[in-house]
Amino acid sequence: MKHFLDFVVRSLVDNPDDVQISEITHEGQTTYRVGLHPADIGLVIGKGGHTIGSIRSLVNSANKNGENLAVEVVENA
Amino acid sequence: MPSPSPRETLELMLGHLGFVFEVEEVEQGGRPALNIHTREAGRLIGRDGHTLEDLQYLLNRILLRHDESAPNVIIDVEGYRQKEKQDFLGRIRELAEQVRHTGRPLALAPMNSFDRRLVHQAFAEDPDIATQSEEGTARLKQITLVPRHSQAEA
Repeated sequence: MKHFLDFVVRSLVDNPDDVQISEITHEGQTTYRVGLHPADIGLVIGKGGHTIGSIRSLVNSANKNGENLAVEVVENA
Repeated sequence: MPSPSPRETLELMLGHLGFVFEVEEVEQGGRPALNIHTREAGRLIGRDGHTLEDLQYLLNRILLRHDESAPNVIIDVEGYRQKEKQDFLGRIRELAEQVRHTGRPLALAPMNSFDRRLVHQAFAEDPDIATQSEEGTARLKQITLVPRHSQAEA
């Protein structure tokens, strides 16, 4: 799943080298945190959240064990 | 950066998602289309085709990032879109029958631009029914089926 996020997000942004994806599991809930160059946040969220909504939908379509996988977008410090 | 082909990009996306699939290049209504063959079609189509819409949207976003003039690519799964198009227009033709019968305009449920185009095209040559789209910039808009004679009177 990380590979999918990595491929899609790097393909969408202006600064692919700044993309950092980490997987966090807390009390059975898996979250993928996508760290981006601040200028790229809008490109990954998209108009009305359309792009990030599609990314979340696909990540969960491929997930066979039923739990919801969260994807969040953050600015790199 | 060389532009990756739509097919290669789609194959990478599906591969990373863990699907077992084969992609076939086809044409739908004169436009390039990629039909995906997979045993996990239901999962990839999603409820009412939402996942398929998301896949198509994301693929086209990526292709446009590499080439601003990239043509919009249609994605289908096991011919789902083709079948749906026939069912979808079938339902709308039934509603058009009501308009023909009662002579009263009927507003359809809000739909995206792809679906609206299908509806406008389906009635372009219809002698009795015209289609009017709602104004505005919303992504989902309503089409009203209007009897052509009442439109002429108005």
